[in-house]
Order: sequence, then structure tokens, then C-alpha cells
Amino acid sequence: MPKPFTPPLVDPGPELTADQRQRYARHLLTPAVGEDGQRRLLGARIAVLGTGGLGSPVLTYLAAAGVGHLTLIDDDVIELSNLNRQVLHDTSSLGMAKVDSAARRLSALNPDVDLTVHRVRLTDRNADDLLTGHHLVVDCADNFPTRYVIADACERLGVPHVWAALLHTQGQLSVFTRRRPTADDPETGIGLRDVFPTPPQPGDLPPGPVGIFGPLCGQVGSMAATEAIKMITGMGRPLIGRVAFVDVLTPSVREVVVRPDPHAASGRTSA
Amino acid sequence: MATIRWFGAAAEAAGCDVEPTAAVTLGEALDTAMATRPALAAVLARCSVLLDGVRAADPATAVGTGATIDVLPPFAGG
Repeated sequence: MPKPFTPPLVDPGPELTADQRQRYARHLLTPAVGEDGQRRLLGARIAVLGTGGLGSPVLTYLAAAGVGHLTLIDDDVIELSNLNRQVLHDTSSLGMAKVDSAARRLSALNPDVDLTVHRVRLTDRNADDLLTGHHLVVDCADNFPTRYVIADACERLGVPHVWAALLHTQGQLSVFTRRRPTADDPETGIGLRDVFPTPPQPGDLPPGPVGIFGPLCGQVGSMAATEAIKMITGMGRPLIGRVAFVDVLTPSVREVVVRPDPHAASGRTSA
Repeated sequence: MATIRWFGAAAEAAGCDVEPTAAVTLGEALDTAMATRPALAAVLARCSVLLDGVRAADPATAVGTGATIDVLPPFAGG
């Protein structure tokens, strides 16, 4: 097996059962995952913020892949205008809490996966409590304030996070590993604030909801799930220090290299 | 020469994804671009500008030969 670009975040879990060998057979036959990767996935704890457009494909693929524990965080209920893209939910779930609808579908998809649901909005006050104890966080939020809460909390906790964000027919994706330096490890990695130091101010952007092309969620969400699996298992070269810019109209994926911003730290919260 | 790469709304306002620039500072590069395309000004105000991967906000920042300036708008939708 080639040496990983980044060490896997999770040690291999117990030997696979006969049922697991059947369920994950096609991953076991995929050299990049294999039995070692599958056992790491089964031992992983991942928190996913947002169970809507991006959260739907991310959670579906992570649950199907056998991630051992998924924590779902979202305070929204399902509205009719969600259903062009939020494919975890359906018309019969209108008015239901998204985390409950998502948990129902994910349990049916893979009963192996242990689920925790929090029907709350993530804030600076609760972020550390909700995100502590996870190997990885996936940011599928739909607003700037929550995204900065996630980024700052992950940095404080030293938890890597996969970041994906959409507008109309385009998306951006990266893996952020920014953390406080220690005596043993002075490297700080790259974080959201190295790319976008502060959220836009009210008035900088048009008010109201933004348009999002449904299949874009599937495309970028699948890429986010892939990055999460890469980080857990050590497979491939994760999107660290790079932002992928996806445009479904061309279609194209352009890459932006990002290096640490020496001025970024001043904007960070210390809750 | 250096290269400016526009993304998202910045590419739309610039009318292209990539263009060369002979500017020697960041401010000169962006001012020259805005001079012929006034719609860029409003978009640039909310974009992050990266010079060879490092966020750059000071217009006086020197732009070396072969440098890449990436202009990236913020997204939050999910």
C-alpha cells in the first residue's frame, strides 16, 4: 500500500463481521479503501452540520460507507422549497425536523451506523460541546455566521473539517486543518479565515435566499463525502491547502492553492 | 507578466476566467482591470484576493513576474 499523503485520522476498528463483508464488499474490492480503510470508517466519528442540500449527499454516502458514528446538527424543518435539492427528505416529511427525517432515512439505509441528532443551531456557546469527540466535522451549513462558528471551533478543538459551499451553479470545497500550534507541532495548517478572513457584512450581499441548482448539491456533496473518507482512511491526497472551485455549467473544477495568511489569526474567536 | 484568475461573480464581471497583467503592484493590477470593466468594483469589494496563495489586501503589495492573483467570491449556500 502506498504511503498516505496524510496519516489516517482513525485507527482500524474490530475485524469485520460476515454481514459487514457483504455490505461493504465493493469497498473491500476497491484498493484505495480495502479492509484497512473499511475498518477505519467503522471506527470513525463524524459531525455533519446541516442536513439540507449538501448534507443530503454527504450523510447518505457516509452512512452507506459505514462511518461508525454520525452526529447530525440542524435546527431547520423541511419546507417545500427545500425539495429541489435536499434529497434525504421527501414530500411526506414537510414540517418535520430535518435531523429527524434524515435520521429515519439513514437508519433504514445502514442500521450499523450509530446516529446522534441535535435539533439546535450551532453557536459559539454550544459549538465546543457539540463538536468535541469527533474525528472530523463536515460543514454543510447554509449561512456565513454558522460557517465561521464551525471553523473557529474546529481550530480551537484541533479537529479537521471539510468545508463545502454553494451558489447558483458553482461550489467551493476544501479541507481545513488549521489548529493552534504546540511546542511539538508548530505547523498550523490552513483554515477558512486564511481564505476568507471575515464573513461578509450585512448589505454586502443581496438579501434573501440564494438560488442553488439541485444536482450541484450532489456533485459537491459527493466530493465532500470523498474528502471526509480520505481523511478518515488516509487514502489519496486530501484537498488540504487547496480550494476546489466547481462550475457545473462549463463543467470544470479549478484549483486555488492557499497558504497561511499571517494576518488571519486576529479575527478568530476565543470562546 | 503575471496572471489574474477570476472566479464566480468576479469572472462574470471580468468577462473572462483568466487574463495576463503587466502590473507591478496588486492595486495597479486590480485598478487596471476595473478601469475597463466598472462592474468589477462592486464584486471585488466582497472578494478575497490571493497572491500566490496568500491573502493580500494591501494595494502596494508587489506582484512579481509569473505571479498568480486569484480573485474568489465568498459562498455560504448549502
